[in-house]
Amino acid sequence: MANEPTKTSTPQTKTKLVLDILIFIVFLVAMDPHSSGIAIHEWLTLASLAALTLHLLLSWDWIVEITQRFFKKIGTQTRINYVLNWLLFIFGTLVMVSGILISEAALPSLGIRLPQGFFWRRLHDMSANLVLLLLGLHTALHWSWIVKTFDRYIFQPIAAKFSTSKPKDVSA
Amino acid sequence: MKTFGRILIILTAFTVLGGLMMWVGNANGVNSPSFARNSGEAEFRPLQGDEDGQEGSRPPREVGEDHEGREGRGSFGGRWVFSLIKNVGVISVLVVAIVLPKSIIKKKRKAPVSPA
Repeated sequence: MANEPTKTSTPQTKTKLVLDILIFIVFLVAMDPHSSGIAIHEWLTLASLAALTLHLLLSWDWIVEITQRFFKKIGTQTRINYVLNWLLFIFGTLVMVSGILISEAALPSLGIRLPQGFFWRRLHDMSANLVLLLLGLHTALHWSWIVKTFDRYIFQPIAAKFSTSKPKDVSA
Repeated sequence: MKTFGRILIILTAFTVLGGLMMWVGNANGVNSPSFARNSGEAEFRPLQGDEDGQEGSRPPREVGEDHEGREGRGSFGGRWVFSLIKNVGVISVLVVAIVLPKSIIKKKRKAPVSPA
């Protein structure tokens, strides 16, 4: 989700929306491993690495553009957004790495056994909570995009389906 | 080819960052059993000595026990709903705290200045 130069084509915006909804649902499920079970928690988050990579690929132009212009003249919100995205990437990586190191289902099923560590377990919990806060900020900074895209691709098509007005007859 | 290159860049950044974190974690000895003792924290280890003699390893899990051993704290559905509300609530509070003031400022700027 890029909030400034969003010159993305319609199918790409649609893909972004679907992908972001998917990532959000996966995140909510992953945040409660007690309910989903540890195996689902681990496999789902490992699979989400692909979705997160795709999310970054879809915002690639924005990332490159802001990286090049970061020390030049850009808006404050864009600058904050860029720094926040990097923090999200760093702490997201920390959650993933610490999660892999304390894996109880995914890695053992592949025949990989790592020594369990108290430090990595605590770090995994702490960084996951931090990612939740960063995700909240990330969502807030992209709120106008979310509202606009939801309206365009979800609310408007639904409203159009339930609309009682018939299309004008132009044949006469 | 361009996309493949970009994927490689993302995965390389992930691997380098992850490797760095692991190196820092292991180099400082924070994962060693003595780390918890030095920092004054209670170390997670079985009460009785395990057969392998491994320090810091977890006790074997009971059948039906979840991975944290917190069985019996509530039903599956109730716990999941509580967790869902908590997480969505945190995100919603942050969104409201940022979006609401922003929209108020925007409206104030847009409001026409009344003639004196």
